[in-house]
Amino acid sequence: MRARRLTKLAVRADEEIVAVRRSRTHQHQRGFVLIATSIALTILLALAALGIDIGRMYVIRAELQSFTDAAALSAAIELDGTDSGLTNARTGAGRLATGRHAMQWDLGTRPITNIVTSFAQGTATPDNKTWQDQPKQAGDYRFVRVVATEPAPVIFLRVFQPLGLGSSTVAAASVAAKTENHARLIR
Amino acid sequence: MNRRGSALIEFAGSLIVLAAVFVGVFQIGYAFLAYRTLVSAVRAGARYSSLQQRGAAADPDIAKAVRNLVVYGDPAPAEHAKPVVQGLTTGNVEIVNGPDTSTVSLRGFEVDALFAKLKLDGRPTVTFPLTSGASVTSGASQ
Repeated sequence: MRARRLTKLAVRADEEIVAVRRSRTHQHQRGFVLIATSIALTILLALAALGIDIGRMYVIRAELQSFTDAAALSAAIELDGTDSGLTNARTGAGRLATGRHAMQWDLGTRPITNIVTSFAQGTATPDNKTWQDQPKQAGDYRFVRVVATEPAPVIFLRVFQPLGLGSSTVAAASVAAKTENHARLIR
Repeated sequence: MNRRGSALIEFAGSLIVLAAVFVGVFQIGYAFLAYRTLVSAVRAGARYSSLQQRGAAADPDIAKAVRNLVVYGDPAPAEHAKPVVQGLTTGNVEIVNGPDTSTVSLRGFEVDALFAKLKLDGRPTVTFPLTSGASVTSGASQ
């Protein structure tokens, strides 16, 4: 007798548990799509960050690299061992960033403004100890390095950055050498 | 039944959102990739042109080689060569030869990113100084 009553009780308790579970699973189902979508959207936005922001940075670097290659050559041609040669080299580096056929960055929409030119001495390769932005004496400066730096705007990567930054620095550098009547890129 | 139906509608709605985001990311990503390829192509053309003998860049054969280099990555491409970016033709390549520089840019080209088009007229532009022969500052001194 007693045992039967107990089993009855157990069965009833089981039924109740099942009922509770059932209602819970239904509640889960209602929100499931929303949760799955938001998870998928988060992952997709992270991929967007990778594809869009980093893709844009690679475009900008390619543009800056083309510019510094040309600018370094343009500067190196002007070097002739005199003070005016150094001045001409400095203007030569910036010349290609202005005018009608100016090279630009950010898919060719913004002018390149941050250009640093430095000079070095040496024979076959530049002597790394002699790099100077403003050489005091003209001397035998045969190498020119042009560095272009621009802040690449980021949209999705901003989440990973300190507040209020909104951009990431992209730079490109080229070194050119002056030889007799020629100029050539060495790096 | 009712619940299953609403889940289906929710799923359909979210699929539209996800698909839109995916397509957008794909388009922009493809446009960037194409632009980067075009920058390298135009740079190669301008460099090639700038390395020719002074005055020779105006030669139609050289101009043709430069156009081919930009479009096919080869000054003398094979018969059925494919352009570096789909739809690019030699007619899109503009060459401007200054006294000391060679400029190559694209004219009237559109990057076809499936659902949107990126219009490129005058960009990318790359200018290289002429680096062979006499020095640029003055022909008389050399």
